[in-house]
Amino acid sequence: MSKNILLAVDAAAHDPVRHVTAAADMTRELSHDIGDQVIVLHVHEFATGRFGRIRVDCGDGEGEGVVDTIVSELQAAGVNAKGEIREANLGHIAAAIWEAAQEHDARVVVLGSSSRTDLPRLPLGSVASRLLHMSTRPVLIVPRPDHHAGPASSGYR
Amino acid sequence: MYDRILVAVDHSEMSDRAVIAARDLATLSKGEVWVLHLREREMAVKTGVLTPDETTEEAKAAVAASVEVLTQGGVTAHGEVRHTIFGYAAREIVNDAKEIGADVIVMGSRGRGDLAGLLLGSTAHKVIHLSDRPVLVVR
Repeated sequence: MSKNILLAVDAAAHDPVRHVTAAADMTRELSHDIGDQVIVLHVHEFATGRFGRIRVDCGDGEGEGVVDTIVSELQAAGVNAKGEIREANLGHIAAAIWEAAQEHDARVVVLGSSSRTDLPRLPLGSVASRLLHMSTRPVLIVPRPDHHAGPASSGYR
Repeated sequence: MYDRILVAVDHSEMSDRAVIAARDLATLSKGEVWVLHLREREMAVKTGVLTPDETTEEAKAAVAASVEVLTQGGVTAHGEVRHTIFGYAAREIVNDAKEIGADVIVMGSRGRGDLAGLLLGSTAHKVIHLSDRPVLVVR
């Protein structure tokens, strides 16, 4: 069994770190006794248009900020953690996460991101949805703490 | 963190792996596991009630086997077999997770009821969308 855990995080503009705290906690607990290495990954998303290639996922240094914060929190808790930044074209974040999972031979992928900008009915972003369709490795989806899903709100029966 | 774990099973190959994953998680924090097997009954106007292929005894035996796997791994486990209406399994899983205060739901990405080619089955898909707690999807 490989010893790597991949934690993919995004950077929400309003509150850069808090929304992935739950995911970071669960990752820390996963690695607790086994001595795994945790790779904290943020993928920058780029759109190519008339004005060239523009980064659309977050402001300058926000993704790096989230990654650094979580890496230092994990390290403070005694976990072997390192940060990683990747780039992807618009809509290819899930593919980039999956590529990273394969390269690191991650035994589990933890996804702590759920964007507000996705379809309003979906409590998850499309990244989660796409990753689940691609991945042949276990995926742990951690909803945001303020996420209230349920039959009434989601329209599912 | 992984003190109370709900694992939803249908005894397909993937769901057996979900049981193993639940066992490993429970071992991490000496947690307790609830094994839930929901049998979806289909209601049709002309044919009446369509029950699943397996008998009740088979379902119970399969859950007992999962509980045994967990118990042998030193994990406290409970098993339950329940009936539900076709299409309602996801809701029941999410409600049960709430009731027992599960920290995480573990399930296979696709069960027996789904088309073999599907990467993510309908029940897993619904659970992910309905649940307000973490879900571990195993393949």
